[in-house]
Amino acid sequence: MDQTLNLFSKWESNAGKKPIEIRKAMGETLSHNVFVFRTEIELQQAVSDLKNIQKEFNSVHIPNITTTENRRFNYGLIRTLELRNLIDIAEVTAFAAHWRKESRGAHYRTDYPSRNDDDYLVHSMVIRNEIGNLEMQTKPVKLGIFEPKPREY
Amino acid sequence: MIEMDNKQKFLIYRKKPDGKPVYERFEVPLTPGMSVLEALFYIQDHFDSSLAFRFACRGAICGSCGMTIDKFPQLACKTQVLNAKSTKKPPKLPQLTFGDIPTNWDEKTEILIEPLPNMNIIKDLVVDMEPFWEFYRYVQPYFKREYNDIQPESLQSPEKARSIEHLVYCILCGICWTCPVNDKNSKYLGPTALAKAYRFIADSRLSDEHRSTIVDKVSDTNAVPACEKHFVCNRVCPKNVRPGTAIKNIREEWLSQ
Repeated sequence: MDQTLNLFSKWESNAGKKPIEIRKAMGETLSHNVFVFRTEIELQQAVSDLKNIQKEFNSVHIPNITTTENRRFNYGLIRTLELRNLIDIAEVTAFAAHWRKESRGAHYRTDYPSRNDDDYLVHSMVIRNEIGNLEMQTKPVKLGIFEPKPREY
Repeated sequence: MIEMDNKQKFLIYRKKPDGKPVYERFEVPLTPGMSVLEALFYIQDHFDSSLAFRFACRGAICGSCGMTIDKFPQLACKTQVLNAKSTKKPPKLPQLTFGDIPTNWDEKTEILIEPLPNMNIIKDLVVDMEPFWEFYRYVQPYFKREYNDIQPESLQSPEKARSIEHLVYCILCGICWTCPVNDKNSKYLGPTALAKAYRFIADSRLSDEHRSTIVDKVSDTNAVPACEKHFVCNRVCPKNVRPGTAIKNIREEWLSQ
């Protein structure tokens, strides 16, 4: 609770951008660079854009959120909290898509159009390390009774 | 998005939980196809993050964004900014008063946004829907049939289904509480709960026992008999549910017995 209140008073005293500007920047890099057909250069761009967007969000400013009355039904605040989660997920998505140099399911890379079971038949698990950078860890897939093979129609 | 030069002025009802109502003016640059809900988002994003209004689906299916637009209760997501002034309002709407509208309101060009009528206002355009839900729960609008392995299905003919289909479309937005009876009687169950009750009474799959429970509940003084047949509910409903007709049907088919 204290942590949350500290966060709110930080957001109120910050002098950075409005949430809408950050949300727009996030949407733009995602729809330009992490869309249906993905490439190395674009994904690299998205990863670095989103790092900056995280930084910008750190100094996001929204007014009048430090009293309980002002926080009641404050959808501007709720949507800012949602934006915080959206940026985290966007960063992880771009990071993992950049790491996975293959195409699999809905993840399609024009520079690596085929599936690569030798290197990427694993769950990708992204964590944030102590210094705040994203790191990739993997976990083997339990295949059960099914043998992995390319999906052909 | 293509930016257009046009701007639209909005006069919006504002109220803090314990404060007095005031009206604030905002000017929003229009984008093609902009709904009133999108305009409210623009205001929240750019001018005042504390502007409170309910929303969820943005596509007229969740029933969250009911509000009074130019004295006509509507869904904000289903109302186009450009058409708000030119769309013909339903006839004989009750006079809806929320606060003192500034005398300089330009009725011809400025869109007036107010909360839903006949409900307590929590903040800005957010109203307390709890009585609405209480009456909704009160009529027990659900099936109570026990299922078993031998006969798990409740069959219904396509004709029977079609006869209640329009009632199923109710999205529980609360706009039909514009009803003048809701204004003067806070215990009146309201068009929503009664239409929902009829949706189940008229459903061929309902058990006789549960049907008589619902009929009992809607026979109460503050239920069907309280309806004064204004049919405002039929005229304001954004989904053409025709709650007034449903109430009339309950009265004719079930209360005369």
